Amino acid sequence: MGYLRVVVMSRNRPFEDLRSLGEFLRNRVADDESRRVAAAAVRRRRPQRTRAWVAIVVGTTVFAMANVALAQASDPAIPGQLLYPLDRAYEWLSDRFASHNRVPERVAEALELAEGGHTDRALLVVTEILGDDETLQAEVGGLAGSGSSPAVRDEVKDLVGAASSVREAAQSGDADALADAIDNVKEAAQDVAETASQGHAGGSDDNPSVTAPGQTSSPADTAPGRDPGSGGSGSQGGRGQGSSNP
Amino acid sequence: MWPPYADTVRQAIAGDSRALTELLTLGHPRIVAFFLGLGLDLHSADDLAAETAEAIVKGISRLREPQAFEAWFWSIARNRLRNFYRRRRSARPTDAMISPATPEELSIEREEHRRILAALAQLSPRDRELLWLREVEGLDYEEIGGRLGSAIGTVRVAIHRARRRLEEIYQRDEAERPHL
Repeated sequence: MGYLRVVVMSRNRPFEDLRSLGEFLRNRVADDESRRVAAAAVRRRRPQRTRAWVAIVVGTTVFAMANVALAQASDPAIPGQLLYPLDRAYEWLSDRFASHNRVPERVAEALELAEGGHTDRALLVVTEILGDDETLQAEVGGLAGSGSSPAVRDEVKDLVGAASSVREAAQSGDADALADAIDNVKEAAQDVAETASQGHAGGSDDNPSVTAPGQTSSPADTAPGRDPGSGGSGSQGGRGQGSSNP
Repeated sequence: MWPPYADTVRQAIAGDSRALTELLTLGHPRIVAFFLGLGLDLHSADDLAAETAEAIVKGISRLREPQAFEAWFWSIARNRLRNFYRRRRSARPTDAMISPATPEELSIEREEHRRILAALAQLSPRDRELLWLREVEGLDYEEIGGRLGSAIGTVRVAIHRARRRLEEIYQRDEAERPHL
């Protein structure tokens, strides 16, 4: 009994110490300093509110004009006709919003695939999350064959997060946030590539049939107990990741 | 009071400067502690905390649910931290590491604080982040994973592993310590 108590106490100690450290580090920040930082951040907000109003007014006007034009463009236009670009824009928007609703599912799938070591398939799902931005898709598509070491998996998971931010930013209509999010995806893609090159790229353990066009991949080496075609759905346990933590 | 009252968050979302200042004043020491605990130096932690505060001010009007404030708040801090690491890495291709604040710089006197800081430094940044949010900030799995779209199961497993790794480091350090 005494032994059990010692074991339990020793197991809890790092976490108690961690909480205590957190409290200590919080308390060392002076209240005045926090108030100063908060006030400075709030003061800088004002010009942005003005910009936001301008954006709302301009956006609403453009949206109203586009609606009127779209109402007239109900018949499909063909190339060369005046309304053809508008027709294409309408299609693009419809596709974008139709697929946007599925983003959380795609993000969860991509994370599951990355966690399970199927990084190539995770990357394919990332390109789906990114929607129709061809530059970003090319950037991510070029990462096929990066291997599936634990470090690469972590970077791919970051990339998934960055990709979902692109969709969020695109939906919110915040141009600054979108630019930031796109930069993040590019940086995250570079991180994947760098990590893969540092840890020797080895092959991918994904099914070669899903490798991006123009890429080479090592033969299939699907994780034990996993159906290569089943994607990442519903598998919390039983992942044969081959990581340092069984 | 942390997490802040839903009314304060609601007022901040509506654009009330006083409520927003109050939120940031409460959150600022937590963000600084988070960055220091994760291994940043004092100067970078302060700079990044100020950047995070600005990002919160910029984005809070888009927050729809006041209840989601805490998870959203931490997702902003985490994004800033990731951007910081990326900036550092692209500036120095050799991946030169940031020098974490030393216990002396942090005026740490208690032995257990020194030990846990040293143990944290041996974990990966991801493990440190997860443990901090779970153990120090008390976020639940959904709050930790939700904003980035991670499945709860994935987060739970990752935190479990991080906890185990920290325990192992602690036990190993304990065994290596000279007994007085």
